[in-house]
Amino acid sequence: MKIYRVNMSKLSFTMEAVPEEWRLLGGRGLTSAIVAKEVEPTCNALGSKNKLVFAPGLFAGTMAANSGRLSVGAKSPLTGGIKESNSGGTAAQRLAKLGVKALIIEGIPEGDKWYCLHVHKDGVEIKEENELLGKGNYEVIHTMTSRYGENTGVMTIGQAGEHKMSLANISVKDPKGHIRSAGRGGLGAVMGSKRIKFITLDDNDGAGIEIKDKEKFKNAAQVFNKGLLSHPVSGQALPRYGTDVLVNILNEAGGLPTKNYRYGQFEGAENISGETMYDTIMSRDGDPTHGCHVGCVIRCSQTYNDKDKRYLTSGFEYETIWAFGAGCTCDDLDVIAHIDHECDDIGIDTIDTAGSMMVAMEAGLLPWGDGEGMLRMIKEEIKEATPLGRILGNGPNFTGKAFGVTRIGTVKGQTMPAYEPRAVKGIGITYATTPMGADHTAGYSVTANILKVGGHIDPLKKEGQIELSRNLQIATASLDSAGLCIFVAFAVLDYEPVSHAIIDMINAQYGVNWSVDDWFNLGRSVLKTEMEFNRAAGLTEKDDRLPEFMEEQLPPHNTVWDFTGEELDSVLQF
Amino acid sequence: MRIEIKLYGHLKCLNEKLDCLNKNRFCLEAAQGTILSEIHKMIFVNPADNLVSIVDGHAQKPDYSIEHDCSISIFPPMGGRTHNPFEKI
Ligand code: SF4
Repeated sequence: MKIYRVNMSKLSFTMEAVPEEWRLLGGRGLTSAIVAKEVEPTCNALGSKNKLVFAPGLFAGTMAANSGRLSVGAKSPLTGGIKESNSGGTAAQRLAKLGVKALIIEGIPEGDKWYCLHVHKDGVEIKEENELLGKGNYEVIHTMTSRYGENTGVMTIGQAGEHKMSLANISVKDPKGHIRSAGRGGLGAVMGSKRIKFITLDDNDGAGIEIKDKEKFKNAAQVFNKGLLSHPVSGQALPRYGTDVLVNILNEAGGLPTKNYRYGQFEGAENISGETMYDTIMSRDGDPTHGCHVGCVIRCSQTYNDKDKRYLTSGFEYETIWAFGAGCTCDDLDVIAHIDHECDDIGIDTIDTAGSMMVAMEAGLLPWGDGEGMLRMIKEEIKEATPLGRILGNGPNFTGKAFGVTRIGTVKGQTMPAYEPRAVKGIGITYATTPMGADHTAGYSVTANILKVGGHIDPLKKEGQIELSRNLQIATASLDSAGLCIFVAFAVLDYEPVSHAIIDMINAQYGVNWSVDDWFNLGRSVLKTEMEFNRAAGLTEKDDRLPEFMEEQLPPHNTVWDFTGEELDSVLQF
Repeated sequence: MRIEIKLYGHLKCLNEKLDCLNKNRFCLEAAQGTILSEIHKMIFVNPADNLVSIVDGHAQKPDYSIEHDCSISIFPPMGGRTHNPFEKI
């Protein structure tokens, strides 16, 4: 495999051999290693010293189920620390089939011209781009698909990325030509700072993927696949209801953050639940289940049509629905679906955009529950990059400063997602301590706290939460490096043969002799690298804390956030 | 004792001997000391593994002893394992 390196200052491309130290890294492990090695931690995230790295995981392009997730890394303009943002779509598998271990983009072009990149088997072409400037992601994807054909991969930024907003994400074309996103941390702004509107990927005649022991890999992949399909979460609940199945569960458990984290239950929960979404999709001839990349056997994604049965959005996630729903007290699923569509098109992260909306509602700019108002603000302010739009588009902390609001639900500037830390305490530990800023996927303790997957730890008590979050953060960093979807974790946690199958696949593909310890050491070293980068970037222990208002009692359980700084500082000490 | 039942997802009462047959929101009478798994059996006759049950806001295990006036929310199979599909491998 090789490294593709694009220098936007020189408008040049080089192809490099993969250094031995990166051979057994992929996905997040590789993006974080490259960023840590090549990016000055104190640099301006939108300046020429930052680098944007795309890396498929260790199993990308193989028959391992759910292994086509893409990692995108850089210093984040939102958190000020290192960032790995993870996406579905077809890009990771295309990069792997091209034999590209990582695509590194550095520098900033002189002048004010914009560019696009075309990645293929012989390298990367850098072309000037004017036609699609100012356009949304859907138009970019449709135009590139008609220009280069169905089998072209696309990674693109919308208007928000062009305006270098901290909420800007990178959109990735999925197998149906719809959008998946490397959503968090403002990496679309980093791509915009390098004045790249989109990247197309043509994997024709690519070098392909080498597997040292094909038979052993195939056997392990079959065990892995069986485990995913046998587990009740990944085999039954997610395919039917998508991630939105969690609305009613979290609501009943008192852990659905409502009205900017004032309550743990939302009276409109039923209207935005996975059950309601499923019925709506079926009544409008939508598609309740499909995969965000070829080879996903869980298929938690869906196509949600409007009242006239026309495509409205897909990849309509629980976190998005929570954020604009319970978070902003809007119970209109159709309006939230419209918002999701607009966010995808403009290229902004839904969780953090809703975070800005919560702050806007605190400031009185919008009434609580005003879904149409949020849609209007996104279309007329953020998309148009008006002064108000730029404030909102730079995230909840920025919006809070502009309007004097202090009730801001962020850690390291990133919005806490859809699980209340006072009612699901393990996830609070993850929000506080992951190097990524508040991120549920970094250590998804909802497993043992609510679903009793991988054991059961009372979500309302402190006992066991630190160990739970620590272990999940380590395991997740390993899974992210393999390019595996986080939802494989349910089977990994509950069925030992599934976790062994992962090790067997690594050994078979790369001709090594890893043990389970080696696998977890990978996760530990990824986290260590990321923490060291953050400390060198100037983030301190104070950044590993939840907002002060978490000390308020949360109904209905009336629990408070009660972890000390010392306890939090111990989480990732290893 | 009287308990409130809320069934989610595609779940509904499948016990033909109960008035709540095919319903997903209803109240039941249960004897003192009844545990959660007995409620599952009462409603579903052959309950699936891995049902997630939340009693008055707290996720509970199948051996949890329910109390008068409690509210039980039951979700489709999506809980941690109760059997291992690899046992025979
Ligand atoms: S389970 Fe969902 S998020 Fe994971 S790979 Fe499949 S569609 Fe994508």
